[in-house]
Amino acid sequence: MQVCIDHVSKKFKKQQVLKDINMKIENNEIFGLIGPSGAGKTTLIRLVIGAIEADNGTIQIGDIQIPSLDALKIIGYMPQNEALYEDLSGYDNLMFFGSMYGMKKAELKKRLQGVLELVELWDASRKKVSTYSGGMKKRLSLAAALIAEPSLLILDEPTVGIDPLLRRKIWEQFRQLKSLGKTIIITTHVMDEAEMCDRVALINNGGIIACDGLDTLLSRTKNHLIEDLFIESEEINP
Amino acid sequence: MKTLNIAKRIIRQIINDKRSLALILIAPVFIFTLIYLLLGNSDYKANIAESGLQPQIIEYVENQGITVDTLAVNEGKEQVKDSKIDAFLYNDGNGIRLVFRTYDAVKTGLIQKSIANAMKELSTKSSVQVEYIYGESSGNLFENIGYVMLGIIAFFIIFIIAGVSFVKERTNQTMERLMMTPVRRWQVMLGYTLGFGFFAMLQSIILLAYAIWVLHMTVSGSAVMAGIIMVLLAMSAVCIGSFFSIFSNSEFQMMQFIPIVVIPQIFFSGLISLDTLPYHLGLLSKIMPVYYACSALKNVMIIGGGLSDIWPDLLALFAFILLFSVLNILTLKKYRKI
Ligand SMILES: Nc1ncnc2c1ncn2[C@@H]1O[C@H](COP(=O)(O)OP(=O)(O)OP(=O)(O)O)[C@@H](O)[C@H]1O
Ligand SMILES: [Mg+2]
Repeated sequence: MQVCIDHVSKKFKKQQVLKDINMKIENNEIFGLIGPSGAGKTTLIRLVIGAIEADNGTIQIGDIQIPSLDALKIIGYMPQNEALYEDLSGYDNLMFFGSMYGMKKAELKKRLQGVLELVELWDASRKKVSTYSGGMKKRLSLAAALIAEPSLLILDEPTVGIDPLLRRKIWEQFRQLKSLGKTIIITTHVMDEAEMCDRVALINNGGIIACDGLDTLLSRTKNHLIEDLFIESEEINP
Repeated sequence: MKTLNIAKRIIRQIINDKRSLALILIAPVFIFTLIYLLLGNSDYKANIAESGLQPQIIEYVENQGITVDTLAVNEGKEQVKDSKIDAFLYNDGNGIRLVFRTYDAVKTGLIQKSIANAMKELSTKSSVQVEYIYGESSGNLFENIGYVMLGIIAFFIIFIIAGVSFVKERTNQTMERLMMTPVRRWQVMLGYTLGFGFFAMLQSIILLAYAIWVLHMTVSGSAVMAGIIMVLLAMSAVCIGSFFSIFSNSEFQMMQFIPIVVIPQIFFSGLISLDTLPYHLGLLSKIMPVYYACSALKNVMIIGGGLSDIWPDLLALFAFILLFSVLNILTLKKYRKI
C-alpha cells in the first residue's frame, strides 16, 4: 500500500506541530520514523490513519483519500499507549478487535493462536489484561494490530519495553510480513531498529530533515551516527 | 454483527468488574429495602374500634400493638370523623369494612397491614373494603412513592455506570483505537446502548420482582409494563450518561454531574407536587426523562393504567433516547470525521 503525504501541516492550538510534510511511503517497504521525543512522530501517524485532521494538505493511502472507512479496513494500528480493555482477558481483547474488522468467529479463533504465540502470550491469554505487566500489554497491543492481517501496518513504538530476544523475533515477523507484500510504518527510538527499516524519515521540530535508506544517510555524516544527522539539521535550522 | 460484538464486550467487561456488577444489581435492592424500612413501618400505637367482628381477628390485631374498642356502628363512624379513633372496623353483613377519616401515610398503612395480616393468618375468605370519610387513597407512603424510587434508582445507577465507563474509554484511549477500526459510529453507539441496556433490563427485573414478591408492593396495572418503562428510562440514562461524559476528563468529573443532572430530576419526579411550584418551575419537568418515566410508572402501578394511558410518556422517553443517541453519534466525530 502506497502512502502519499502531500503538504501536510498540523497545529494544536497555537503550537505548530507539523509543517509542510511531504513524503511518500512505497508499497511493500518497512518505513521508519525517527526523531526525538515531541518531534511529532505520533501526530504524523495519527494524521495518516485519520484520527486527527490535517489543517492543510492531503493524505492518500493507495488511491483512497484519508479519512476513509475503506482505508481503515486494510490498516492495522498500534497506538503508542496500550489502549486495551483492562477488564477483559487478552484473548477476549483480540476477539473483539478482530470482530471489528468483520472477521468471522471460526476464522478469528484460528488466527488468534498464531498471533498470541508470536507475541508469546498464549499461556497468559485467559488472564485479565489488568494483571499483565507493561511489556505484556505492549505485546498484546501489537497482536491486536496484527489480528486482521492488514496490508498496511502502522505501529507507534511497537517494541518499547520488549526484551531484546522477543524484539528480534518480532522483527523477523515484520520481515516475513513484508515478504507477504505488506507495508509497515513504524516509529522508533532504537538505532538498530532504524537499521532494519528499508528507509527512514528523520523528523525534528515538526519537519522532515531527511528521508532515505539509513546507510545512505549515515554515509553523509562524519562519524556514522544518527545523532549527527539531527545535530547538522539544528545547525542549518537553529 | 459489529454492534452485537460491542454490546457483548460491554456485558463481558461489566461481568468481569465485580464492583460495577454489584452496583447495578445489588445496590438498587439495598437502597430500595432501606426506603421500605424507612417509609413502610412505624412504632405508632394505633387506636381503633370494631363492631361485630370475630374475636380471633380482634385478638390478633391487638397482639400487634393496636388498641381495639367495641362500639356501635354509628358511634364508631362518628368517632372516626371526630378523630377520636384512627379507624373503625365493622361487618356490614356483606363483608368487612374499614373506615378512616382521611388518608394518612403512616397510620393507614399500619392499620391496613395488621388487619390484612390477621385475615391471612386466620385464613378468612372475606375481603376488607377500605373507606375514607374525606378523600380517597390507597397504600402506604412506601407504596405511594415507591414507584418514584424505582424510576430514580434505575436512572441514577445506569447514568453513573455508563458515564464513567465512557470516560474511562476516552482517558485510556480505547475509544480512539476502536474508532480506528472499520466500525461505523452508529454501530458503536448502538452497541453501547444495547450492552448497558442488557444490565438495565436485568436491574429492572430484579428490582421489580423484589418489590412485588418480597416487599409486597402492589402493582395495579401490568408489572411487565412497569418493567418496560424502567428499561426505557435506563436506556435514556445510558445515552445521557455517555453524552455528559464528553464534558468530563476524569471519572471524578463525571461525578460532578450528579448534582446537575440527577438531583434536580429527583425533585421533579413526582415526590413534590409540580402544579403548586412558583414561577412555573414545574415546566422544567418537561425536559427530564425521570419525570415522564415516573408519571408512567404511577399510572401503571397506582392507577392501573395501560398502554393507552402512558403512550405519551413512553414516546417522550423514546424521544430522549433518540435525541441523545444522535448527539452521541455526532460527538464521536471528534475521533473520526467519517
Ligand atoms: N492532542 C494534543 N493536544 C495538544 N498538543 C499535542 C497533542 N498531541 C501532541 N501534541 C504536541 O505535539 C507535539 C508532538 O507530539 P507527538 O506526540 O507527535 O511527539 P512524538 O514525536 O510522538 O514524541 P514521543 O517520541 O515522545 O512519542 C508535542 O509538543 C505535543 O505536546
Ligand atoms: Mg509518540
